[in-house]
Formats: sequence, C-alpha cells, structure tokens
Amino acid sequence: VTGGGARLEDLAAATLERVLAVNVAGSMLRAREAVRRMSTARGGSGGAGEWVHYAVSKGAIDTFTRGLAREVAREGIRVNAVAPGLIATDIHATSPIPQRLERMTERVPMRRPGTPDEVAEVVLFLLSPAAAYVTGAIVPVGAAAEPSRGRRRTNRKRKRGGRLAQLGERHLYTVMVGSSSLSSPTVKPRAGARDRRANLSRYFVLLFAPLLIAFGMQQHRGWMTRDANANDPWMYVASGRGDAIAIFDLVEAGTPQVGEITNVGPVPNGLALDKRGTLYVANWNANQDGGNVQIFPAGATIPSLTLTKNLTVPLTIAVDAHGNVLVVNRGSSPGVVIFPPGKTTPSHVLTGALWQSAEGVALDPAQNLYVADGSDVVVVTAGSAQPVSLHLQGLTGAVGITVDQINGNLFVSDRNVDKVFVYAPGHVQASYELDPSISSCDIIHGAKGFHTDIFVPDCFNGNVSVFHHNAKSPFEVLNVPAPGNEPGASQIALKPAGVP
Amino acid sequence: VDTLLVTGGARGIGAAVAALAAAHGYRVVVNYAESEGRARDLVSRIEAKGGAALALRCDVAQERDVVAMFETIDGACGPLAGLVITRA
Repeated sequence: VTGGGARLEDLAAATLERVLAVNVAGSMLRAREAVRRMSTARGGSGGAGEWVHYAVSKGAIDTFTRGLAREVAREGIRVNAVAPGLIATDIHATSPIPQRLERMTERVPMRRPGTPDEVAEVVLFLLSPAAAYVTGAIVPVGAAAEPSRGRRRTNRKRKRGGRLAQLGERHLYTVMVGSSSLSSPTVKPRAGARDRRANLSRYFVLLFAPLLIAFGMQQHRGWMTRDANANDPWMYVASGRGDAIAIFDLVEAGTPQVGEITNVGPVPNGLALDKRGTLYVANWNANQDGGNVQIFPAGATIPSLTLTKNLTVPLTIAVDAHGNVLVVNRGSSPGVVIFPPGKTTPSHVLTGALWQSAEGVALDPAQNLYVADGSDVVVVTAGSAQPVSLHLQGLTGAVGITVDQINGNLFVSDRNVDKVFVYAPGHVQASYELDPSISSCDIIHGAKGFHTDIFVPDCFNGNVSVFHHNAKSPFEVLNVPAPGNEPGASQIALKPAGVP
Repeated sequence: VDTLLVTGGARGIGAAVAALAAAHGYRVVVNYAESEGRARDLVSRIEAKGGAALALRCDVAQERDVVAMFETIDGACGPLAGLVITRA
C-alpha cells in the first residue's frame, strides 16, 4: 500500500493511517503469526523477540529518510538520519533489565558506551553547510557494535533479524531537515522555492506522523482530512457550446449532478474557482463579436460583476493568489488580459508577435502563468509582464494545460494528435504521455482525495479521466455529460472540499 | 539567526543536540512532552551561556498539538532552518 503517490506535504492523515496500518502494523502482525508458528515447530523458547516491533519501525524510518530525501532534494531540504549505537543516557537507567548497559558494553569494540554529546556532534555536522551534499544518509554512530556471540552460535538462522534488532534496543533515530539556507549556497532554488520556504513548517508537521504511527500511538484525524460537515468537492463543467454550467458531486457514487448555473452567456467556455468559492466564467459565442467574463460569488446564481474591456474572444480563465483575473483572449491579437481584483479595467494586456493561438491557462504555486499556445507553451513569470516561449518539443495544437502543483510537471493536451504530453520542469522533451485513449480539450489539476490529481475531460465522449499526478493511466473515469446537449465537457473547474 | 526545532529535546541525545546547537549559534526550540523541569533547566543553561532557547510543550502523538507547536514557532521565530527529531 503506497497511498497513491502523493508527496509528503499533501499526505492526508487518514491515508497515512491506512498505509501504515497495512504496511507496518500489517507486517508486524504477519511476522508475529509467523514467529509464533516457527517457535512452536521448533519447540524451542525463541519466541517473538521483544525487538521485532522496533526492527519494523527502524526499517520504516530508514525508508522514510531515504524516500523523503529524494522527494525534497530539489527544494533545498536535506534529510538525514543518525543511528546511535550504545549510548549512555538515562534511558538505560530505567531499562527493565538492570546491568544491561554493562552487558552490552562487552559487545562494543571500543568497550564503552557513547555519550549523547558524541551523537550531537554528528547531528550538528549534518545540519551544517559542511554537509551540503549529504542527504538520505543513515549515519551509524555506534563504535561498530557487533552481535552477541553466544546467541549467534546457538541460533544461526535467526541472527539477521534477531541480533540487529537486539543491539538496536535503544537506538534513537534522528531525522534532520536542513532548509536551503543550510545547504550549498551555490545551489539556486528553483522557482517557487521562496514560497515553499515560507511554508517550510508545513512540511515539518508531517514528519512526525510516520514516526508516531509506526509506534502505534493515537492518531488524531481532522487535519487535511475532509470534515464530514464541510462542503463536498464539486466539479463545474462547461461544454464550450451549451448555455449552462453543470455541477457534479465528486464524492457521491456515480458523480451525480447537484446543480446548474443558467444565468451565463452567451456561451460559457473557460471556468475558474478561487479559494473563496467564487466562480469565474469566460463567455464567448462564435457567431457574434465580443465576449465577457462573469464573476459569481460562492453560491450565487447571478453574477456580481461582468468584465468586457479588451475581451474579444475570451477562451479560458485563471485567478491568481492575489485575486487577479487572468483571461486568455484569442481575437485578432491573442494574449492574456489581466484584471485586478474587483476592477473592470485591465491592468495589463499581454499581446504581441509571440502568441499563436492562446488557449489553456494554468498557474503554478509560485504564481507563474502558463498558456497553451499552439506549437508551444508561453510562460509569464510571476511579477513580470513579459511572456516567454518555453520552446517545448512535439506540440502542434496545444490547447489544454495544467501544472502539477507538487513536482512542477506541465501537462499539455494537443488537439491535433489527441494526446496529453507531460514535461518535467526545465525539460523541452515530453517525459511521458497519458493514456492514449484520452482525447482531451481541457486539462486541469484538482481535488479528489488528494489535491494532486490531474483531471482530463474528453469533450467527445462525456468522460473525465482522473490521474494520480505521476500515473500514465487513469485510476478513475467519471461520466459527466456536459450541459447543452453536448457530448462532453470542454472546460471544468473544481471546488475543493471546505470551500463555500 | 537560524531556528532549530529539537523534538524530544529535553532529555538524552535530544538535550545534547539542543545544547550543542545553541553553542553553534542556533536559536533552539526545545520541544518536550513531559520533562518540563528538564526542558526549563536546559533553556536556563543555554541562556546562561549567552544562547537563545525556547521550551515548548507538545505531545507529538496529538496532531493538534503538533500543528499548534509549529504555528507558535512560525509566530515567535519565523521559518525554521532545521528540524531534529529524536524519540526516547
């Protein structure tokens, strides 16, 4: 059980609980049963061993350290563990077996227990810039302790599991995280790193959970999990031809339609939702000039504001973290029209020779803006008004786009070849394609279970395929007929749980 | 000043890490669950040597406590530069 490939900071407590219950507790229970049977078969007094529990959690922490280190290495965070050997702390004074320390000292080549300060020195080294290139390391600080000789002779078959666990009776595992300020100053943080820095403590909160749950402690639900009373995630769907927006409940079986917004038009195409639940609709009708953007406050069926200035063919729409409304406008001079929050006059109109056929739009967590633009993707870096081509290879009719909020991968749909290509950050060649059965118009990143999933609506068959953020095949296909007698959704937007 | 959080920082290896880190110039947040006396002693010792330290109680088995602890640190110390988890 892996929990679906979410990154640590997106891990829901409930998922973690399940993964660890199955992987750790499950392994331990299986081991317990196996040991019970083995010891009966032997008729000996081997028993389950008092440190099996520890050995399992130790393995969990080894794996956790290495896995997390790889996961966050590019974000300026290093993760290392220290595995202390026999250390003289007050723990040993309270050991159920007196003289244990003395007895174990005989097995340590240095013939003395270590001191907490000797471990602390290694910890401080790993935290320091001197260890800027060290991550995912499990550093033993243990004087090369060896297993008990007596037991090894009499019970060879069990030496691997039993001995290691035994020596590790009071090993303390220490996981360390150094932020980018502690790592090499020559490593330039990638875009968004500063934002992540500000929220660094969010990453850390989760670090505790695996350690805790591995020890079977009580896990409290409620954080990052869905409140039973909160609003469910909803999916808003527009066909690009009909005259309404349909709303579907993503949690209920069968994804039933739960609502409809009809006071839209002329024809709703692009959809966006902000974190307050405000709905933004880009409207455009192929048969008449001019389009608009309608803004519906959460729960409203009548727009509170309509934007029209500089909008000739508004196709898609996004809202950034500051509430700026970013409208992709094709028209005779394609580009992006940016309206400050609450304003009906744009602050920026980004057009020029660069643009080809601007359509899909997406924002990454650092608020960089990406627009699918025919044979390329255009990026407008946060704080800049200068669109730049990414020079992506293999695109001819880029139409939909989203950014994986976790690893920065760009998902781009191409209407000419009916494929969705995935580009890793900084790469111009696609690293993989999504399931070729999906012919996508729009493509978005959104919330269902994890907020890392990728939603790909198919405007020809009425299905929306949902992909884990790093999967090539969908884990779920939702059937959501688009409004207006159209076969399928062209554009969708998601309202996460908890948003009004 | 870089802030370092040491969980289980009141006893054993955690306390040694906290004291050494303070000597290296970190502002140290000493997290403890039950050893309040030890945590306060450690903070006093660090401060007596001119270091900066803060003791915070948090039962790390309680998710709410953990979140609250990080929020307290966010408010009092700003972003963390590092985290050391020890368990005893």
